[in-house]
Amino acid sequence: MNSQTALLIILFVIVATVGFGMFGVRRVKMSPAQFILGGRSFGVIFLWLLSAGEVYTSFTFLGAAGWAYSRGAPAFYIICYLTVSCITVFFFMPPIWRTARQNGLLTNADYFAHRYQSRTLSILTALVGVVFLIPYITLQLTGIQILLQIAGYGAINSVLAAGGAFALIVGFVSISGLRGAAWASLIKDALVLGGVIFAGIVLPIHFFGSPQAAIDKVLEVHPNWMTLVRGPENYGVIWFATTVLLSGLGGYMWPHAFASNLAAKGPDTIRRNAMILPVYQIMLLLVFFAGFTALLIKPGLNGPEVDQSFMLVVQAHYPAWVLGLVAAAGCLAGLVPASAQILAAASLLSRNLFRVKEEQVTRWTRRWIVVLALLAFGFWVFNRATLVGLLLIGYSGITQLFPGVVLSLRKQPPHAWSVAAGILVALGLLILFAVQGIGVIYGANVGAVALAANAVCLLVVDYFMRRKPWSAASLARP
Amino acid sequence: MGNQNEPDHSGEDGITVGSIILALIPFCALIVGPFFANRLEPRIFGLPFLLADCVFWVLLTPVFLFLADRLRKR
Repeated sequence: MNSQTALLIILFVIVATVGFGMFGVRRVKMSPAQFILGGRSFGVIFLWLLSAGEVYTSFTFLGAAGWAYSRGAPAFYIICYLTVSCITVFFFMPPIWRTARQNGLLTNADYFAHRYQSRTLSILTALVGVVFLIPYITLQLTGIQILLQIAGYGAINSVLAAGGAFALIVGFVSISGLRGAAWASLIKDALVLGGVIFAGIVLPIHFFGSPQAAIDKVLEVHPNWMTLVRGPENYGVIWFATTVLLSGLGGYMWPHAFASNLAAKGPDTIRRNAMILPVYQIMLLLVFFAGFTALLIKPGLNGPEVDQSFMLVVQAHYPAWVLGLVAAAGCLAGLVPASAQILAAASLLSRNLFRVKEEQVTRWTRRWIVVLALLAFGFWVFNRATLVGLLLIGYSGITQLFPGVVLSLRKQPPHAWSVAAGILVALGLLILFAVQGIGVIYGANVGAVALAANAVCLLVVDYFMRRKPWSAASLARP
Repeated sequence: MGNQNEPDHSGEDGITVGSIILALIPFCALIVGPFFANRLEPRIFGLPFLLADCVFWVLLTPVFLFLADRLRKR
């Protein structure tokens, strides 16, 4: 009975959201720019809904609580890096938006192709985008599966159920495009806000009287929980600073996040959105409270179980309809970003890797959405254990596009080959670190180390490309 | 070599040194801050000092970006 109540609520919410999104795009003609970028017409509110919808994924919903539960202070990096992202967007995205608008660019690989006049670089950046998006999409699947498993009280096959929910949202985005995802974000953001207020305020008040009291209790049991380890330790202060920098610079290199800014109506919309988006991070504070509460009520979870922490508390202490609503919010927090991510990855494939004709872009992007969805699902079913590791590599990987994006804003951008060399060197280093199992170097996040190597390599190669007069003539159009 | 025919957009946003400096303040504070704020006390509204410091700068970022926006040349 319990499992039916909770699952029916989740099913109702997902179907209602999809219906609402479809209603929002009725009578919209799906040209490529409309399908992939919502016709570049999103005002402040719509852009805010979409950006908030994309940042607030199941990693933030379950993962942030899981980190507050399992690590404590290192989790605080999440609110810091998202804010750093907003500061970079404020300066870098408006000129990129103008170039994209004037030249009809739809993806970040389009932008590289145009600004660096290099098909090779466009293919490389598109590949980096697709390869690192797939683990991010599968991570959303894990989040959804955890929620369905808890909401089903063990009565259903949660892997299949997650696959069903995923199929529904993939079908939805392949029909409605980015505009549909933005409409769906409206319901998702509202419901997640409710779920987070419940988990971060009602839970601590119920068990301890107030969130402050919950923090006091945590400190009684774990005195070092709210401060970072000093020195070059993993998850220490240096790790914190370098991870905030790395993830902050990389936040808008993700193809779906880049696309959401190109979907804005104009540069002022982008700037205003960047100004107000940091306030939204305060919701994460409540997620931390939920994680702390779970640490006290249900201690002893290990490994991947920590992501279930506060949901297990809700399951054990609240009626099924409350669990259903919170889990539904969490499912949308996974499904809506996954739809935007899969749309962005598919558009990279149709436009940049296979370069279909303009009038066929929408059709091919739809096909690629289905292929990628099957790939992501298959990858996920066979390889669920290592996803967190893959996501960490994902952030390290996607940020390597940052030097090329920033330097493209100079009047005289560097040579395409120097950008490509920087990206390849950084990826090589990341693979090496991953194989060796190295997570930090002198306390610094390996992604930040690779980013530094990327920048140095870029500048050195560019210096030599420029110094030789023959290079400009013979290599200008690689 | 880039696209030489590309019109230069960098001037159109009217970014000034002042606006960059204003935006760099929260940027640096969020990254370097934890080295100095890595403490439990004093607690602020019950939050440990480190978390309060993060929240403080997150909430101030919109203010700094608003001022940076005002300092753009239009």
